[in-house]
Amino acid sequence: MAQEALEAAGSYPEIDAFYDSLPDKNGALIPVLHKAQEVYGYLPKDVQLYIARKLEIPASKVFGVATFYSLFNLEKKGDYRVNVCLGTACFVRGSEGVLAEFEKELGVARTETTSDGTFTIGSIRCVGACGLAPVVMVNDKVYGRVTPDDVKHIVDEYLGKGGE
Amino acid sequence: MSATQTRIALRNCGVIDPESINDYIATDGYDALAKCVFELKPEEVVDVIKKSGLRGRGGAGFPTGIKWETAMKTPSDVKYVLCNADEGDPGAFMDRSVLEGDPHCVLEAMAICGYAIGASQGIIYVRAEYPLAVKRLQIAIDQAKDLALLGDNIMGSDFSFNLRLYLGAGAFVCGEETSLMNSVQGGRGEPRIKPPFPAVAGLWGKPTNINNVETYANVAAIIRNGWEWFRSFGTEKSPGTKVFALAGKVNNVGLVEVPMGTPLRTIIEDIGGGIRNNRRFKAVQTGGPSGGCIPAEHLDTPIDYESLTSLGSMMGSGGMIVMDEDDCMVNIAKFYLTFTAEESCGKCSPCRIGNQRLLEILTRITSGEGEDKDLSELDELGNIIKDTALCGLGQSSPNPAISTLRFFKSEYIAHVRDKKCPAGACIKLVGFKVLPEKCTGCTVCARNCPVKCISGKPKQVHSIDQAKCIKCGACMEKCRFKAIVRG
Amino acid sequence: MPKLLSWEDLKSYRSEIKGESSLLEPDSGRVLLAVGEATCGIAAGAKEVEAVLAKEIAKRGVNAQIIPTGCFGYCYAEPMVEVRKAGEPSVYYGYVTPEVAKSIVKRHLVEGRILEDNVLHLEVEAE
Repeated sequence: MAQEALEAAGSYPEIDAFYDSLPDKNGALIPVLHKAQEVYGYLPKDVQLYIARKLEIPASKVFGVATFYSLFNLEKKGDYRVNVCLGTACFVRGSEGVLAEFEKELGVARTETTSDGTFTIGSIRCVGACGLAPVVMVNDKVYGRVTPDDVKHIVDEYLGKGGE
Repeated sequence: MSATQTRIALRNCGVIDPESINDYIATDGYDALAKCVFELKPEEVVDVIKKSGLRGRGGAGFPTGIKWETAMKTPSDVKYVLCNADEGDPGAFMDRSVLEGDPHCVLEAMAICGYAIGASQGIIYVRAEYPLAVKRLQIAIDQAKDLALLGDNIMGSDFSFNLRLYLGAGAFVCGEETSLMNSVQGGRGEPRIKPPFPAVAGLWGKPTNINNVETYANVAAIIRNGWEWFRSFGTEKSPGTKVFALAGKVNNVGLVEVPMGTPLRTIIEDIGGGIRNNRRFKAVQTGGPSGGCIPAEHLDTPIDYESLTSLGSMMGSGGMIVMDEDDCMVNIAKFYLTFTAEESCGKCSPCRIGNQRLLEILTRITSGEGEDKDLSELDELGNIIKDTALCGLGQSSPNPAISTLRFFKSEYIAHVRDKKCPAGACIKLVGFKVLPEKCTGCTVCARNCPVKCISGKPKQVHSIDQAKCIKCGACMEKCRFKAIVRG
Repeated sequence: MPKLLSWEDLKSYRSEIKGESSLLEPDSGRVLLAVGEATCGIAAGAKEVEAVLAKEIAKRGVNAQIIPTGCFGYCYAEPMVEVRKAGEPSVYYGYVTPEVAKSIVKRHLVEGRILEDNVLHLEVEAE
């Protein structure tokens, strides 16, 4: 069955397989949420409810954990997640100006996604590449020593690629 | 650049291939573990660590040997060894460098700890934001298992130690040890009251030793070379070295490992190469959101746990951010409070509500709406939070505000009474003006002004109507001739 | 891989692998090129530098081995390359571009001339 059909039927085989493979079921919730987000891109309500039933814990606990940690998303993100580092080293080297330029260039504010679903702007706290401050990450790629003038080039680099 | 560095924790970083266990073994790797397992009793291992005077490198500087001893002496069928690799301080990247450059040294130390306290399970809690560190740790664990240097019956002995990784999910408070354990148990990373300390009742209520990455990175070298050797570095109360992540406005941003007791000035001027662009040094921030800003007159302070605390800052994990005259200390305090207010887990009210109030006061001051009473309130409220918050995050979160108020009071007063930001960083407190000698009358500024407060004919000097200006700075940003400045 | 079942096993394994590990044997005549490949090094272009070094070594038939290593600690000068030769102090190159990487192989390794303009002068007292 196709993934969509399985989901419609309330079945999430990837979550099942991952959970069953864990040697230690204690404390499995966060690893399972990581896995679910890796598969679905975010944590839709149905997935959270399914995980609660699977792990035999209250749905409120799943929701509580999913909302506590900043890496878990409850909403769908764009194909390219632009994250500007707002750690201290980047901050004192002007990352706020870089963030403002991305907001201007893409026409959406921090935490928002462009209407075509291509970009989401966000911020991160220090990737530990302070020697290259200010730093911007697009998905897993790190850009160092970024100035507001570089923003358009970075955006253009992804615009040509379509939606992956 | 003359350097006075001494590398113990970073001994292999930049020297060996971190993805090759053979490289690590060739540099006497896993000898310390073998020595413990085959020659030393657990209490002798603890004794060496105690005598070395090694203190926790993640923040407060608690003696590592005491932690190990407590965990060793607490009877239990199951015990755990945890590694705190949730390096969340913005501007700190010491642990990342160790994990990416020498992962085996952490694994070896954790196994040594497991042998000493009687634990057969270890967990490394690592930030998911460090994908390369995660990858290299996993490679290292698999390689060590293949050679029987980890896993069941290590090197044919009776000692077994299994290690696994646990990925964080982006919560600063999880760097606090009790929050970290709640997170490993699959819950929200909220702290709990100590005592009981983790060494008595930690993960799943079992005795747990938890140390930070850099602390573990010292262990194998201490076992191999002896505690007397370790004590030959550093100071009486703070033996050994400390790794600092030097960043901000210095010329040579990087990772620095120096003996404890090295003056701040040596790190910033000699190793860091001084301030960028020939600007003037203003302050150095140590300890991240838990630390404070240290001004120029204290630059000759030798660095150790006690001296930094007495300056209202702290060692923290070792982030060191240098600031120059363009950085506004009130704005920096606000920056850190924004961070802690956002990262507060919300469990205790001093931190959850108090930090919000501190942030509101700082926001008022940086927007030119501050009053004299805000300054005394900032100090009073800050100290109440320090005294009453539940965990290390809350207890230290007012430090950036309190320390800047202590050392840079005149800057606060300028914001409150004169409505001026001396550093020119608080945008609502600065105006913009056109330099007539540079303005070419290109009209770009006037066209970009969102409130149309810039007037002037093409090819003539433009002017800004200060009454209408909303101080957004768009004109300055757009001007290609640097003809618009703050002032 | 063998299982190491005693301290003796570990010691003999160590002497076996010494020749093939990335650590320099005093009389091997082999040159090691360490490239700093921590997060910051990679973000600054260390992988590209490594690729150029590998290509040039192969092209010129130099007896050299590349070691991808961790952080040297000099983040401001990334990407960095260290040239290790037995009996000589290491030479650290900073701000290495693909062009500089090419010259390192051609001038330093083949012709024996150090590229003074790109050298970072560091004095680190090791353990």
